[in-house]
Amino acid sequence: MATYYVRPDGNDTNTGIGSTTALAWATFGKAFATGSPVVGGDTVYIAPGAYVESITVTATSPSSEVNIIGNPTASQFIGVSPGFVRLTSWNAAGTSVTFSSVPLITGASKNNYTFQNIHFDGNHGGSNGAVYFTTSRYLKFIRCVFTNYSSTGFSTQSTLWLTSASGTAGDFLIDRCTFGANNAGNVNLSGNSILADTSTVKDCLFIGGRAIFSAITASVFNCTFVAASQQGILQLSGSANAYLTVRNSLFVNCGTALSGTSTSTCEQTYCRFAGNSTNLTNFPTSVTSQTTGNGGVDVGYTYLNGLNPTPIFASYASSPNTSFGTSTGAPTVDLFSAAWSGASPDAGGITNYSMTGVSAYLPGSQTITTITIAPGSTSQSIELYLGATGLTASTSGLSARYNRTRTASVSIPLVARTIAQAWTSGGFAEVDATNMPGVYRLDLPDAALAAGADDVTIVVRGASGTNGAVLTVTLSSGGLTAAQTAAAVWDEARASHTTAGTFGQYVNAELVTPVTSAALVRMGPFEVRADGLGASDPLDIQKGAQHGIDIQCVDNNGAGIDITSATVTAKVYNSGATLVDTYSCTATYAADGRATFTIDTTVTNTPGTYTATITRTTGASDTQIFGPLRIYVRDI
Amino acid sequence: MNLQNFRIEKVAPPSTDWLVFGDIEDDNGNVLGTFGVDGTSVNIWWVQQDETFQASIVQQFAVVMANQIMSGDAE
Repeated sequence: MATYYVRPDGNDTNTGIGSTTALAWATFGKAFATGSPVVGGDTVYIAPGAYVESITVTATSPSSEVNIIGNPTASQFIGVSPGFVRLTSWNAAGTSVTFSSVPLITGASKNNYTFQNIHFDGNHGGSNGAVYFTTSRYLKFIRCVFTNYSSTGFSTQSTLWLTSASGTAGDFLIDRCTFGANNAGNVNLSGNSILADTSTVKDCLFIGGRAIFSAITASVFNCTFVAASQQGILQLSGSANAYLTVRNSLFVNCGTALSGTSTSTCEQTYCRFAGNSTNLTNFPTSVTSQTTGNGGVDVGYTYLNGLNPTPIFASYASSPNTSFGTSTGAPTVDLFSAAWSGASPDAGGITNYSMTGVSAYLPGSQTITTITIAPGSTSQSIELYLGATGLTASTSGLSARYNRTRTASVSIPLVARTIAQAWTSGGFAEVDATNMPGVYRLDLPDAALAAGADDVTIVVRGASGTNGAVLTVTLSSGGLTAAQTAAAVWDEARASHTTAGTFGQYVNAELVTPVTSAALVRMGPFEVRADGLGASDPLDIQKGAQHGIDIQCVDNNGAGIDITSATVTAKVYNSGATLVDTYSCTATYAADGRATFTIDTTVTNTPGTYTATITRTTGASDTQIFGPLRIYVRDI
Repeated sequence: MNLQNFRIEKVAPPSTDWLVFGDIEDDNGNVLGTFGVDGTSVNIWWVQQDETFQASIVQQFAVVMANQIMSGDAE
């Protein structure tokens, strides 16, 4: 069950197994060409774009269902804007016809194709149908739109024409489709008078053209026919084995609403007729149908006048169509997949409901972002922008995968979490639907971040309403930490950048050595004055080291005092006036009062404010005190 | 208005006429009228209609005729 992708900027030489430009096909017809790898069970996603192609299906008919799915929201693609998925016979701008009188897509004896969400946009006025399959079976058209703008369209040809093979039922399904063709026939289903044929048309809107049922047993449920110039429904070659059942349908302003072969080959119940020239031709009447009253549809009043708008041609509030039908055989939802507004289905294809609050699809960010996580990290959570609120681990279609460099992708089974819960592999939680709408937490499996790969790419996608998100995690420690960087700069500066004038030299000379070495540093001289007049400057020294201090004993006029033969001592007191240590001073130029002493860690191990007084003793009673010298010990 | 037992028959050549058969009924199945046991001749009926009605029908024919002429199916 492979999945293929088609996008306008793809290439038909690609494998088609991937949604990127480098992998996807470019044409709608590639999947239907001879040798196509698409087989039963496969899915083909078609990206938004105008595919100007006339396709003849030559591929081998699949033995089981193949889904050809238009993806107008581009949720399956990256780098593609949402828009119509249009198979067209017009140029991309729709301003000139590229081809006419040939089908958009045709095939003979081709079964099991299901087309979804595709706009078939024809310019078909020639023979056969714009979408034309003959002798085929099990063809389905779901949520497709058919238009035809041929100026020669008033022919007997149909926009969608399906025929079954001789002796075989068609078993066709047309579900939730709209037809806006100017052909005489919007739909033509031709069979082989097989009573067991399950062909069904339901929840469809037909504007301007008829639905033809020729020699086929078929059912029509909950369809709306508006302004069909000839018939709403025309039965041809009806019989007991080509029996037509019409139920819950609405016919407004048609030429003839229902035209049968004879009253024994068809039936109609729970239908409403309004404004038709003829309601029934060779169709039996029914007591459950209604031929009085108005059409009961909103053709724009609510939107024009500021009421809660309903879809055009929908039953308006209190419409006679509302809850008019029977549930027997009826689809559970209407054309736009809305639940019926009443207890029973409406007559027609579109029920009454307010479009207020029906939000337009806003694509999520498709930007591929990159973050960095250290390889081998565990229990990592990341945040992704998915562009839609309300997604959960169990949202239909939502899936997550990762792939590491040059390795196959790996599924990440999603696990429901709340935003504050602890990490668990695959944990998925909405961050804040109100204040950070569209942002989700995803807990990465540890294996995704294991060492050994350059990067890992994570994709979350597949749910309705989001384009998904792609995020690449670079597996790197990111180089040195901040602390490592600071240390490296420090070491490098000191070791290799120490020439004069450099930062390293300054670091070594001015910062490192005084702090980390016990080598003496001469500081001063500080003039310490007699008579308690203080000192010339305070002393500011690094804690934890010993320092050499130069002093000069001066009188109160600043003249040096001779200390020859004198004993000079420095006494250091802390801020509490307690003597911490006493140092002997050595005269360096005694006649001028100059001396030096070394203050050691007895003092400098404890940062604080100290004072030192210098005593000059020349005899038993001849002591003179200088200073005090204020000392600040701190971590400079 | 409903038409039951409705059919049209082409009159054998060299006539170019068509005959219309059927019952004209109301929505309750009551027969309001018929096209006659031998059907109603289109050609005879046509010339009995007033010119305004004929003009409106001819204008509808004209579009079909133009398309047939352009497609080569008629001249």
